[in-house]
Amino acid sequence: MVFQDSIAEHAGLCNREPLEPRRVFGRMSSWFDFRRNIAIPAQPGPGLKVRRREGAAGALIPAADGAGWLDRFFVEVEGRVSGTPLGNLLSAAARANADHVAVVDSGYGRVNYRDLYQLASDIATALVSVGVLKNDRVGICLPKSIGSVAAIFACLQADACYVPVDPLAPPRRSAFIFADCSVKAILVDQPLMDALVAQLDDKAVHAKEAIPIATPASAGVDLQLLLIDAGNHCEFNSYAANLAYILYTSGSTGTPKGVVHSHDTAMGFVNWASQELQLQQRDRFSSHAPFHFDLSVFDLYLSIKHQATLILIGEEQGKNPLALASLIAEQKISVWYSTPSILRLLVKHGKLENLDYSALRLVLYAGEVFPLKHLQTLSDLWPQSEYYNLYGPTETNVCTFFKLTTPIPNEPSLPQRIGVVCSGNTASVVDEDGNCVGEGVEGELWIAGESVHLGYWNLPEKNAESFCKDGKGNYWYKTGDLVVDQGGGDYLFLGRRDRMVKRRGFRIELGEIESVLYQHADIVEAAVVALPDEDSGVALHAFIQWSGDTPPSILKMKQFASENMLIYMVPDRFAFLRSLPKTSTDKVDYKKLEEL
Amino acid sequence: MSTGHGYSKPEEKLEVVQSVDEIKEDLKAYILQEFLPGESSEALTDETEFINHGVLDSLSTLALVDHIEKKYSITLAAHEINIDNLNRLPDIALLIATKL
Repeated sequence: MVFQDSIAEHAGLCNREPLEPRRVFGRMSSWFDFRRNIAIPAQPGPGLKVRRREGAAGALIPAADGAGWLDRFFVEVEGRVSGTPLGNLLSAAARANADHVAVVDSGYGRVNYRDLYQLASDIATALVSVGVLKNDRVGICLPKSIGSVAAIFACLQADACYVPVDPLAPPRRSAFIFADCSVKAILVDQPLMDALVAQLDDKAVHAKEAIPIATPASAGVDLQLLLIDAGNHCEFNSYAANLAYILYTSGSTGTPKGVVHSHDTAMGFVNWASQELQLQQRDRFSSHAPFHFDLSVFDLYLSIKHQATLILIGEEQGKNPLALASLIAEQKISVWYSTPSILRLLVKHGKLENLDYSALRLVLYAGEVFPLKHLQTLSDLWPQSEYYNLYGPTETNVCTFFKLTTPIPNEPSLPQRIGVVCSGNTASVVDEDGNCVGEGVEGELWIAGESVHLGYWNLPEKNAESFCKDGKGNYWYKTGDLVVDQGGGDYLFLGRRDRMVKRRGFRIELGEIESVLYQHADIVEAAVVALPDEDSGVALHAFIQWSGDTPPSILKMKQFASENMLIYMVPDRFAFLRSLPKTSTDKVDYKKLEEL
Repeated sequence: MSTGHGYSKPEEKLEVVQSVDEIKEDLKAYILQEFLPGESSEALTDETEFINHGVLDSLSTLALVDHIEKKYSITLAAHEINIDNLNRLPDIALLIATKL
C-alpha cells in the first residue's frame, strides 16, 4: 500500500522536517526516534539545544523499514522547535497576528491568536507529558467550541493524530471508533465522559484516569484528558507518514471506517484552496460542519492559514435556519461553506430577504447535488457572492471543483457539474474492467495525487479493493462515483456504483443501517432502500421481517433506531413484511422493495 | 417557559385546557400522518418523546414549525424552537396556546 513505501527517511531524527530555528513561545518537549547507536545530536540545528531528559528511559522500537531498531527518547528542545505543517499554521498566525481575533463562539466569547496558541500549547504539553507520541491517536469528543479548536491544534502540535467524533452520537458508536484506532487518550467534555467510559469498558478499552485541564471560560468546555489503557496496537503502518487526523465515515459492513489523512494529504488541499479562492486576512469564515465531517478541514485550516477569523456554529444553532440566518448577517460572514441541504433550509425558512448579507463574498458547497431551482433562488437572494461546487469524498479531500457563473443559467445538468481536477491530483474515468475510457463515456472516477488519503484504518482488505497501483507506482483511489468527462477534463457526476446515499449532505451506507437493525433481537431480516424525496434528497424506507406475531409500534422502532445510530440514519418509514422479496440468487430484491 | 398565567384565574382555566386538548388532537393527527405513517393513534401518547426518540429530526421539526405557523397564524421565534417546547405533544400544544 501507499503507506508502506518511503520509510527510509526515518533514519536519524524521525521527525519528518529537519529541526530549524523558529521563534516559539516557550520550550518544547517531545519524543524523537534515533537510529540505534547514533548519539543524540546536542545541537541538531543552528541555535538549537537538545537535551535528553534525565531518567527518561529509551524505548526500543522496530524501524518501520525493517532495518534494525530505533531508540526513542524523551528530549527537551530549548528555544526553537520545528512543528507539523498543519500545527505550524497556528504558530505562524500567533507570531504574525497575535492580537487578531482567531475564533468567535457566539455563546462563549472570542479568542485571539496568541491566546488560542497558548491554550493549544497547554493542552499539547499535557498530551506529551502523559506519553503521547508521534502518530498516536487522540480521540476528541467535544461540542464545537473554542476549547475543541484548541484541542485539535494541541494534537497537531504534539505530533499526534486527532480522531474527532460527533458529541451527539450514541456513545456506543464513539466507543467503537476509539477502540478501533486504539486511541491513547481522549479529550472529552466532562458531561459526556461517564457514558463514554461505560461504553469503552464494554469494548474492553479501559480508561485509566481522567486529568482535568484548566481552560478559560471562553473555551466553552469542561475539558478532561482521559488516559486509555489500550494495547495501542497499530496494524496500520503509521510510521511511514505523519498522520494528522482520522475521520470515520459510514461503513457498509455496519461499522464506521476510519479515513486516514496525513499532514501532506491535508496540505495538498489547503494549498490549492488558498490560492484558488484568494482568501484574505479580513475574511470571516463560517464553521458550520462539525469537526468529524471533512468540510471542517477547509474551515479550520484555511481560516487560520490566512490568519482570518473563524465563526463557530454550534450543533443546535447549525440546524436552526432562522438563528443561522441572523448569525451570518450579524457576524458579517464573508466565506460560507456547507452542504446544499443547509443552504436550502436557509432559503426556505431563513427569511433571508430581511437582513443584510453584503459581506458574503464566497459561497462554497459540497457533499451532494444542489438542485437547480434552489441554487437559483439562493443566488437571487445573495447576488453579490461567488459560488463554487467543491467535489470529493472524505478519502480525497476536495479533488475537483466547479466555479459557477452568475446569474445561474437554466442548464438542467448544471447541478451535476463537478468541474476540473484540483489539489494536486490527477483524475481518470475507468470502466468495469479497469480500463480508462475516453471523453463522453460513463465510468468510475479514480483519483491519484497529493490530497488522497493513506487508506482506511485497520482494514487491509478494504484498502486492497479501494486502491489500484499503476505501472508508474501511482496509487489510484476508486471513488465509487460514476462520472463522464464532457471534454477537456470537465466532469459531470452521474451517480453511485454502490449502496451509498447522501441524505441532507450526510454520507450513509444503507448496509450500516441494516446491520444496526439486525442488532434488535426480534428482527429476522431487514432491508433499507433510499427513495428520492423533494425536501431531504432521499427518504429512507426500512422493510422488516419480524419474528413474533405482532410487529412492534413504529414509535418503538424509531426509538430503537435513534438510540443506536446517528439521527440522520434513522429511517423515515418502517414497513413490516411476512418475508422480504428475493432475487433468483436468494439475495434481497432491492428493486422490488423500491417499487413497494 | 412560564405556564403560570394561563392557569391563575379559575374562570379561564377550562377554556385554556380545552383549547390545548384540541390543539393536541390536531397535532397528533398531523404528526401521525407526516412522520409516523402506519402507526396507530393509541401508540402516540402524551409521554411520547419526539426528539429524543427519533420521531422528529431537524428537518421534520422545521416542517412541524411551518405547519404550526400556518395553521394557527402565529410566529415561532428561533429561540422557541427547542427540545423543551417540542419534545412531547403537551409541550407543543402549550407553546401554541400561549401564543393564541
